[in-house]
Amino acid sequence: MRKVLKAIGLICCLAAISLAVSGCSGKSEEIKNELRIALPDDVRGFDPSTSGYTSGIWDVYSLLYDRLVIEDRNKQVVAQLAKSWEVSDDGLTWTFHLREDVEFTSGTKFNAAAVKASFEFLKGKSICPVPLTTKIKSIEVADDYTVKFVLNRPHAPFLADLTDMRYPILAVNDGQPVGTGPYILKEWIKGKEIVLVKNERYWKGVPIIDRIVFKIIPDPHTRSLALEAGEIDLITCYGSPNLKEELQRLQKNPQTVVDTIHNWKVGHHLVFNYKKGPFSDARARKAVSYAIDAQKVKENIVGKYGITGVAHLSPLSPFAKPDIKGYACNLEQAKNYLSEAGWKDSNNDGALDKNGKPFRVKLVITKDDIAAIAEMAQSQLQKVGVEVEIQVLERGAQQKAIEEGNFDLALFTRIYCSGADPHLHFRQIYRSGADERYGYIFKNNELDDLINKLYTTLDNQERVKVYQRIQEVLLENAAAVYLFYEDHVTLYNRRLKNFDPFSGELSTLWQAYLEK
Amino acid sequence: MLKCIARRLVLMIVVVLGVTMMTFSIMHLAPGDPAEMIAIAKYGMEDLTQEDIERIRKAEGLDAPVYVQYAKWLSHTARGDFGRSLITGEPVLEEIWYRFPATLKLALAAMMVSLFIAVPVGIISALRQYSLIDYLSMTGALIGVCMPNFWLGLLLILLFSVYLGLFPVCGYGGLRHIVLPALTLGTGMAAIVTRLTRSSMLEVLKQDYITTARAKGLSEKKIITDHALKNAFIPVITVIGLQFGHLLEGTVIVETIFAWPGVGKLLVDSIFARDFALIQGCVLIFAVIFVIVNLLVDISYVYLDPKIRYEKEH
Repeated sequence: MRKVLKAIGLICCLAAISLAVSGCSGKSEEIKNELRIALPDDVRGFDPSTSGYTSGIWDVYSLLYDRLVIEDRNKQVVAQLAKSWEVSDDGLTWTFHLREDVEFTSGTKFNAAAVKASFEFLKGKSICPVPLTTKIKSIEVADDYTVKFVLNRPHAPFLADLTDMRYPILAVNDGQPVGTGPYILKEWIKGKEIVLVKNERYWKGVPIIDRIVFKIIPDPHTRSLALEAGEIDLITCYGSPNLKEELQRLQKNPQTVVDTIHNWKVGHHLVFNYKKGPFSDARARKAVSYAIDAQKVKENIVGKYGITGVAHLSPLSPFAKPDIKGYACNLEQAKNYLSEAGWKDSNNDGALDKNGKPFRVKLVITKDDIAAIAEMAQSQLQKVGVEVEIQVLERGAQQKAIEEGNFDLALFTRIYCSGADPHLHFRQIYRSGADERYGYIFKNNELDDLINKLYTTLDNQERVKVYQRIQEVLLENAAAVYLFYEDHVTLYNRRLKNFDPFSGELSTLWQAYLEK
Repeated sequence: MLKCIARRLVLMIVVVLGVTMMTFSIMHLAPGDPAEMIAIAKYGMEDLTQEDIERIRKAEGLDAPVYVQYAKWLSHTARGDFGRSLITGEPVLEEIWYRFPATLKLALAAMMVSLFIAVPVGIISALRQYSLIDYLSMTGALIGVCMPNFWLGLLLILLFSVYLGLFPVCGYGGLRHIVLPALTLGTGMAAIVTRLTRSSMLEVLKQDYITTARAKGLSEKKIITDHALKNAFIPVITVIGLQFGHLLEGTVIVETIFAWPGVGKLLVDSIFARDFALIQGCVLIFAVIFVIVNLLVDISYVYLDPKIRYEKEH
């Protein structure tokens, strides 16, 4: 017995020693001028053509790489590496005049040839080429600082698409992509952190903060606790299942700045299965649209950190229709539409039925969604006699259920609209055609025509009209129920000054500084 | 003894094979199109077309029947080639190897935490049955079993890191970094082992040989250490072996909360992305460890209980 105990003791001691030794090596000197940013997911690399999207990756990219144009806080496309641009009347040739004072961090000069090489690099490698590159027929170097993109066919949102972080301008140095951004990649410790140092040659000026460390922290609660404990200084795109409560708590902390920007893209919404089941009847869809109190859902879930949903695009989108008429909550209207559609409560049990079948529908959500949204919709629909069964599925399973029409209602929350123009979202979900994957989500001929027009209409005024009409068509046909647009929340330590956060862009950090 | 170990090693291979086969088929039976999930993880879902998905299906060999895919994986693995992650393209073995030390460190630290708490507390509770200490430790154990890891983890962070500033909130590093995750992970196991040590001790103390030992006038200390403890330890060691598997499983949650760069987090991410090569690699490693730990447990019986002699039975 003693032998066994001794052996166990010895093993424990050895383990303790090995832990202690490994602990000593981890110590580093305190570096003062360093900003620590929480990153929800580790990146898969720094080559945009193969790294794909992971949460927070655009924050890292926006510090390493620049693009020709970017979207600013006023939702306008503005110059970054390009000084100015023009498009030919047929919409096929886009000419960019470039800045002449830019260098890559490797020391190579930035010019028209570099832009061409960069797009060729992005196009060349993966089996699924970065989408925009397939639309480019050729890239011509007109002179040192003028580059022309010739497209296969008109692609009106070309300029807006170039604001997407997937199209940075890179040069390849020793097989590694390098950019022209304010910071340079120094070290990547997988699963732990990414260390950037300032780019002394940055064309806007030398950044003030010496080092930026992205610390990988997957759990949203841990992220906010780390901010409170002063272990990190900045959280971008903060999201949490109980956002409202967490933000109320964090706002009381004198060390923390809570910066919110209203969402100007697509918000949380419910989509109907318009082909199968009770919602193939537009009147049933309208009834549900009237029965759901979006205002109440918003108040409950995000409180003041969001805008109540009315139409597909947030009222702050440049493509919104200011006076658009949505479905304000109205239970009487809901009941009228339901009885028009033939749903009655024939046995007085409070639940509707038709031909002996109860009005029972399935709402599919994923485990990443905020279940409380679905539960609120469930209780609100119960009031008009519609029974909702919530089915929580894993992401792949939800995707399959939606594509195979195995749902009545689905919650869409994590919709990421890259670039300054949301055309991809509409094309993928609401346009019918050979490549459609969402056959059970509303489609009609007018919508198809309108979405096609998005690609041929260059004039911005006209584009706005097309977008407005798309949203009207979706509302007229009650294709979806719009709940709310969640704010983009940035949390940071009060020490960080002169910082202007806006969604997915950290490039303004170059002029920020840390107060002593 | 050696013959027995050899036999067990052969059985081990069968078990591990079975586990990988099960995982492979379950992952393929899971709803959702794997090619689509891989494409989404790799390229984002916004402008994914059916064409892209089909291209990925072909490139990754996902269009072949499941048993063909499994056979292919098996033949590669048998030759020591674990393949490349379908998402990152990195060699699977490298990805796991890189993260494995972190997970092992966490699991061992949690094990130490739980044993240091559980064994002494369990023994004392048994010796002082129905005393205040007994009630307190059993209530503690009940709470320990019931508390979910993610909740306990956040509470510990709030108390020790945010309010008291004693330990870092999260991250991988030295001894100070491991304390909270190890406590979080170790508590559940400590609770189970405490209860087991206590009941097994009580059981042994009722045995005739203990009465005999007392009758022949041995000191109480000698009775406890030489006779009771040794016999009471057999079920405890068994459970420790089995619990090691649960520890590895627990790392999945604890690693996420504490931003601990281990295999647990890697496994979860790869399951969501349907990264079959990586899933198979992680599961294989976990299965091998689990089986080895249990083999060690079985071998340790021989030293604890002279009645158990493997070769005599067969």
